[in-house]
Amino acid sequence: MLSGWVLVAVVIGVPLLLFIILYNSLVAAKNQCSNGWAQIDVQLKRRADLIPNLVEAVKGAMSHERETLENVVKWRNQAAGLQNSPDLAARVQAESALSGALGRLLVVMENYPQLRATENIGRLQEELTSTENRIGFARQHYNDVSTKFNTKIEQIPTNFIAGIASMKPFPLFEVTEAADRAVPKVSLK
Amino acid sequence: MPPVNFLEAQASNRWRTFFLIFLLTAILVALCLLLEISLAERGPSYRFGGVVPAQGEKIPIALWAFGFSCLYALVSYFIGGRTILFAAGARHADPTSLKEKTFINVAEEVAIAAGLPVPSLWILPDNDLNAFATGRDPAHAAIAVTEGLLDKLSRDELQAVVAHEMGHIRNRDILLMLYVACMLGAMALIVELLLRLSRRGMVRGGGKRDGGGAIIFLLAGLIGWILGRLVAQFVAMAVSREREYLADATSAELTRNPQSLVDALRKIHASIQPTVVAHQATAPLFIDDPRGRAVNEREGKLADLLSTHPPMELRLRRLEQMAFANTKRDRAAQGLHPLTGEAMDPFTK
Repeated sequence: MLSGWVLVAVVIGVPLLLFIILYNSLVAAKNQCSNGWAQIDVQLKRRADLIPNLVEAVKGAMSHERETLENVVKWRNQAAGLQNSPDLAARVQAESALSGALGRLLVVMENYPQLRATENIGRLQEELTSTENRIGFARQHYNDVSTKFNTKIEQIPTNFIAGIASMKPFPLFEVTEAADRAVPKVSLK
Repeated sequence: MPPVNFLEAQASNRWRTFFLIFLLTAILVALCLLLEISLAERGPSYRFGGVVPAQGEKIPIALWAFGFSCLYALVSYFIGGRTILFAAGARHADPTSLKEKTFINVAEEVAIAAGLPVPSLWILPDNDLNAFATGRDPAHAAIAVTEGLLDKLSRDELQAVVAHEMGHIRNRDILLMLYVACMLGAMALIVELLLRLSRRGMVRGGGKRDGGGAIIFLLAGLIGWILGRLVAQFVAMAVSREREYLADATSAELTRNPQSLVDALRKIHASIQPTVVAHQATAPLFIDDPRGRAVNEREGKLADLLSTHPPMELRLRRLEQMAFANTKRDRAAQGLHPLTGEAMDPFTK
């Protein structure tokens, strides 16, 4: 009689325990992805806050590069305006365009050695380089944890649980983003 | 089995840390028991500089030693990292200096890439090129770099070095190395104490019997020193080479730029002056052996045991292979021949 109950407990208990463990690991992985996504937003916001300072600082000395500067400001404002917008595609486009414009600005700034010699512009340039790196690394981290999560919800046995909890795969950033990241490489010798 | 990924490395490091503490405590207790027995044989009234009470009121030294060892392990866990930094003369990175601000930025970037909290950042007043990480876990970790490193390395190279240190943090190498450093430090302290006691015994006692006691202390100190050094050395160094390779690989994983670490390691290795702020206990912590010992450049089982760092040539070769894999991928993406980089005929593709 007793052994019968034990058998029932094992038959129900072990799968239940397994389910709980696997489900919890999935939730942990999913939250890592959401957190990674939020981290990208934080870094994008940091960049948007930084740009007005930089443009203000270099405007006078770089009057010949009006077009480059205007481009940066234009895309910055567009990206900042879309910051809370649900239209993800438009946001991604604006942010990538801003990355490109900033990259060009940083390259152009190389032609103005007297600018770089100025202490606080050197600092701003460093901050900008860092911001671009942070965005790149935040995306990279998001892609890493999302790939892990996406793999998990496709693999046996976690795919069954993901199916029950209707967990969807996270979208990944494409390779082109990495190319964007490579543009503003500035030598700080 | 050397650890192949960071989860295995974490588990192996925790186990090794526990093993190291256990073994060293056992050695200390055994030595004290031996000391006690040999002193007890010298008669009930034996006193030794007031440290060892007379037989009647005796508190077992072995028990004291056990308590001391546990307490020391606990204290090391909480303040060991700080102690190592202070011993090396480190100071906080200063955000008002552009160079150190760059270091802070780079560390924050790498922390984002690793998904870990930003460690506290320190500067070592030293012209040599070197860096180390310490602390008990990622939330209480520190990275220290020398002033020379900030002067000589480009931003990308600095990033690669910081990512290497972040690898040590993520793999929990820092915990084991923290204990190795603290235990080696304690060992040196105990030996110093015993040597002083034996010297004092010689001067005060003068008699034949006390001279004998001094020799016992001296012997115990010597045995303890040798055993402790051997254990700490073997526990820590047996996998230290794998540890460095793994941290190099982590650096490449985080920055996706192995070539920068190659360039950085070349520069670090080429600067032949020794890192003055390092000493015996902290040497294994650094990215490149601060003592520049020749044994590191050898291969084989014996060299694996004795060295704290892998041969630089091998580290560079492994990283260059990773960098070449990147180049091949980039070339293939641009439609070039992956090995030679020449344009490929579209019809033969």
